[in-house]
Amino acid sequence: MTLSNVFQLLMSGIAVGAIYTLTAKGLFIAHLATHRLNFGQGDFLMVGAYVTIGLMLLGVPAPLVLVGVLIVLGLLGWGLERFAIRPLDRAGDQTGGYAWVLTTAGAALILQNVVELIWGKAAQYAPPIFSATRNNVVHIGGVGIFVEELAIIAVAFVVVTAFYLFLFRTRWGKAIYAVAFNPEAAALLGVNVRGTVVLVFVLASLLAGISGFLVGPLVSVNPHMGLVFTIKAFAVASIGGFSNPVGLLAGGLLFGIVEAFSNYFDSSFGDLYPLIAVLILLAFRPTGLFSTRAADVR
Amino acid sequence: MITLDNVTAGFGAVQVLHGLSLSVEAGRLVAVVGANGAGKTTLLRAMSNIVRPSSGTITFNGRPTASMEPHHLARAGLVHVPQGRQIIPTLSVKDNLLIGAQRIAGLSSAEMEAGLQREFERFPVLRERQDLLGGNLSGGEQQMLAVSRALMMKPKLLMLDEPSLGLAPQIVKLILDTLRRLAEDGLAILLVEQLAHLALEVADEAYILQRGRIVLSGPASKLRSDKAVIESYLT
Ligand SMILES: Nc1ncnc2c1ncn2[C@@H]1O[C@H](COP(=O)(O)OP(=O)(O)OP(=O)(O)O)[C@@H](O)[C@H]1O
Ligand SMILES: [Mg+2]
Repeated sequence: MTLSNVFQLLMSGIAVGAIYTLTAKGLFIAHLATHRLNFGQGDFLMVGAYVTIGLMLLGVPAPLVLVGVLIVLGLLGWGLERFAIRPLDRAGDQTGGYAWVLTTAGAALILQNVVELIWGKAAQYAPPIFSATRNNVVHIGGVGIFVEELAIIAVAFVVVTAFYLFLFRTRWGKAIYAVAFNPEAAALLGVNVRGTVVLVFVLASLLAGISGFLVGPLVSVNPHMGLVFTIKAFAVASIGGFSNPVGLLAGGLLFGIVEAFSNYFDSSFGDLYPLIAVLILLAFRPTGLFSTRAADVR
Repeated sequence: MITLDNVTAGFGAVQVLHGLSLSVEAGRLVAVVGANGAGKTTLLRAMSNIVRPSSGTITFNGRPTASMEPHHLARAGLVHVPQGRQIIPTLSVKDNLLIGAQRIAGLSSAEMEAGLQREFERFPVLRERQDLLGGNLSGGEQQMLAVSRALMMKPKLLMLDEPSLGLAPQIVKLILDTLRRLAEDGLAILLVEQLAHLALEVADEAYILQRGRIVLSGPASKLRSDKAVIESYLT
């Protein structure tokens, strides 16, 4: 293993890890505000990847592709809240409190089958988004790095930063924290609680969409790829701590890097080891690496 | 400012409020006193439409409130400081002050800044603590913050649910004196309290609530010297 190898694996790990972070942020924000989340988060990512491939093959330029993905996923997020989450609130305690696991997973199954009907079962490869060919490489200090990965990292970091600014600096971000703390108290402060919950699910869905847009050129895309991403996003959210937005970033990058190296050493079971590592970590630190009890919003 | 006419409310089959009528005018401090479980919190939650009244009418500022959402009522100036203060622990003191004001349409940032300065004058400790997280304040500081946060929303009617809860006597006095002054400046205030003697001291009028019914009402000065009241509530 050369130094150049190490560096390239590091870059690939960061690129994939940044995407895991985005996906996990979707889980985080929905969980923060509603104590619920989308078990089909990875499947929303899958839809984002397919919409990207479809539009790219039609010759649509990349920025417009992203706009298209955001529109489709924004509508999906709204629909999820409207049809899989909200009716359960009206049913109240009769649903045992965890019915959203079934309804969001059910929505994911529907998406898988719809995508399979439109695009077929076979794995597809997205054309590169940011460069002319998939193997376009820049040399930095004698180490070759894929332009595509570099661009993915850049975009992911811009989105992560924008997300932080939104959450901590805008009045909508503060409304999310108010609803997370106590919906009734938030309403008494003039916060539209229902609107905030819709916003949160739309945001979570947009984050999955951006992840899908970015992930296409890195992995092969198929209608059933979502579950793995949901599981990895869960893993990242658990490392980072469900209540700690900064921990999510560290958790995502760590997971991506470990996975890249583990795949290098064992190409058949490489995906397995990072997940096992997370399980062991959680056995000893159930609140994750970066989260303390005090950091929890409850 | 607000009038309740024969309002009933409850939870499912359990009726908690049995036909309450009361009103609060601008410039008046009205107290509702009653023991644990009398229905004081439920009354305020019904007035904020969090618990929908099952019958009767509430008129706020000349308008029936039945079709309004709680957040609409808050934005329209019916501002409710809930029991336990409900300071958002993960936001700074300053953000807690601003969060309600930021929902009010047409409140300019200059007006909000002026509001902040006014509240910092009222409770100087909030100025010192403005960058601290709300969860790190003491109970008394949180109650001051809760009152200031409500005042930032330009209330027409201010409703407070047991602001004295768990506070030292001198802080309670500070809060009640503040309310007295606000009423003199023209605000309508509805104060819900378990500590009847304190509430009756500052209030203009008072209602005594017992198991969801108003059993006595009148000028606070008269209730203070009422023998039955003294025996049942002020001893
Ligand atoms: N969500 C609820 N569901 C069912 N019953 C409720 C609910 N909230 C309150 N109650 C009942 O309504 C009655 C009045 O409660 P409420 O909280 O209004 O009393 P309170 O006067 O505010 O008491 P305290 O001084 O303890 O705050 C109580 O018997 C209570 O058990
Ligand atoms: Mg109460």
